[in-house]
Amino acid sequence: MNSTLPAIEVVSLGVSYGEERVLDSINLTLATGSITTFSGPSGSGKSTLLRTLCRMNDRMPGFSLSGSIKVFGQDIYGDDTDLCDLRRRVGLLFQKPCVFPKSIYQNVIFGLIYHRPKERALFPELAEQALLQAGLWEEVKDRLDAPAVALSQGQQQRLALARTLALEPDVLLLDEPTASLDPESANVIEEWALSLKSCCTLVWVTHDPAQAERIGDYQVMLSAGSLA
Amino acid sequence: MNRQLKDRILRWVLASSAIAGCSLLALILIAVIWRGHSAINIDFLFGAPGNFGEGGIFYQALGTLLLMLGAGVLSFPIALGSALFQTEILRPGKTAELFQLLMYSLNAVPTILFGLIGFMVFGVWLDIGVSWTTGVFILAVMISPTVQTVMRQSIEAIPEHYQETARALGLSPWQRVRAVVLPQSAYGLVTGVLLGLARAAGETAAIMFTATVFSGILFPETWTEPVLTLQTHILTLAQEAVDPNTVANAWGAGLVLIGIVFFLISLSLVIRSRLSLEADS
Repeated sequence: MNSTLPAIEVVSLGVSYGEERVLDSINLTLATGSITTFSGPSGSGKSTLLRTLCRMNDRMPGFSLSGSIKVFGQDIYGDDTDLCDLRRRVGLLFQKPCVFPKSIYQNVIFGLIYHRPKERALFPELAEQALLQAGLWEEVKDRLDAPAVALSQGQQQRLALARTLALEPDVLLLDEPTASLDPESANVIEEWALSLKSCCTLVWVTHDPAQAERIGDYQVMLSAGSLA
Repeated sequence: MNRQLKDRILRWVLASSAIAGCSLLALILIAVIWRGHSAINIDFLFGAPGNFGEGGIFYQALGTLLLMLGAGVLSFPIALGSALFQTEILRPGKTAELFQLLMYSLNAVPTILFGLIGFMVFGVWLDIGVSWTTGVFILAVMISPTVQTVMRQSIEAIPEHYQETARALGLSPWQRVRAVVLPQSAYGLVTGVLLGLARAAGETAAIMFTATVFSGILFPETWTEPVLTLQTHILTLAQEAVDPNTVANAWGAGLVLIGIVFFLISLSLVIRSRLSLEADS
C-alpha cells in the first residue's frame, strides 16, 4: 500500500444500467486511512457508487461505465485488472449479515483458503487476529467449531467483518452495515470502525446523518446520482 | 352466477383435471401389475433368456442398467459443465436466454431423431454398427438437457447472497464453484441425474436400432457388441407374441422396467425433500 497516493480517486464517473443513468459526473478523492461516509436518500446511487469501487456491478444487466476509478493509482476498470486481487484489497461488507452454513472458524478462513492456500499453518493465528479486530474473539473463542448460523445478527455481522479483515484489505467498503442491527451491536461496529482507521481506508454508506457525523472524517452527500 | 358458485365450479374443474391425470397413471400401473404379476418369480427375475419370450429377463435388466449407468456417467460432466457455464460465466441477458432456449429445444427433439443421427454417426460413418456404446452416447446426449435443466435450477436456487459474498471476497468463478455452488447444490445435482436416468430407462426408440438386439447375445464383452434391454424385449414380444405365457412375460418385464423408473423417481424425491428440509432449517 503506497500511503502517498490517495486510496481512491474517482474521475468523471458515470454509471448506467441500459438507458437509465444512475451516477453522473462523480469526482472524489479519498485519503488513505480516512473514513468517508456516503449518504443521501434512497435511490440516490450510494450503494451503486460503493459497489462500483470493487467492480461488484459488472454482472448487472446493462451495466456500463464512463470515467475512471483508481485504487492506489491503479485504474481498476483497466484491461489488466485482476478482479480477485482487487476484491481482496477492496473488501465489501453487505447490509444483511451473510454467514455460510459452516463453523465459525471455517467462515473466518473462507477467503484465506483461496487467497493463501499454502499458508494453512498460519490460519488459526490469522483467524484469531481477524476475530480480535472485529471484536468477536472473546465471545466465540471457546466455540470456534460451533455453527455460525447460531450466532446473533450482530455477531454474524462481526463474523462477516472478520472474514473480510482476515484478507487484510487496504480499503473496506461498508454498505449500511448497521442498518439491520440493534443499537448496541451498531455501537460495537462503529467503535471498531474508528479503531481500524490506522490500517485501512473505510467507506461507509449510511442513511443516518447523525451516524455520518459521528464517524465520518469526510462526508459525501449524493442526490439523484450526483454529488449534492 | 354468484362468486361462491363460480369458485366451487372452478374447484371442481381443477380437481377433475388432477384426478384425470392421476387416474391415468393408476390405470397404467394397475394394468401392468394385473397382467404382469403372474410372470414374476425368482427364475424370471434372475434367469437367462430361453426361446422366444421364455425364460428370465436378468440379462435384459442388466443391459438396461448398463445403458442407464453409462448415459448417467457420460451426461453428468456435460450437463454440469453447461449448467455452470450458464449460471457462472454467461452474464444475464440475451445470450443466456438464447442458451436456455437451445436447451429446451434440445429437450423437445423427438427421440427417434437422436436414434437416426446416432445411427448415422456411429453405425455408418464410424462403422461401429449396433453397439451398446452407441446407445450410451445417444442416451447421454438425449438426457443431458433434462439433467442440465434440473442442475441449473438447483444452482439458481442457491441464495444470491452466498454468491455475492464469495465474489466480494475475491474468489474466482472456479473457486466459487468449489466453495459455494457444488456444496450448496449437491442434492439438486444428484436429483438431476436420477431424473435423467429415469428418462433413459423408459427410452426405446433412440436405442432400438442402434444399440440393442432381441436375442443372440447375453451381455456385451467388447465395446462394439449390442446389448439386450427390457425395452426392446417388451417391444418385440408385444408385437409378435401370441402365446399367453409369453405375453404375460412381456407385461412382467414391463413391471420390472416401471419398478426401476419409479425407484429412481422416488429416490430423487427423497433427496429433493431432504434438500428443502435442510434449506428451511
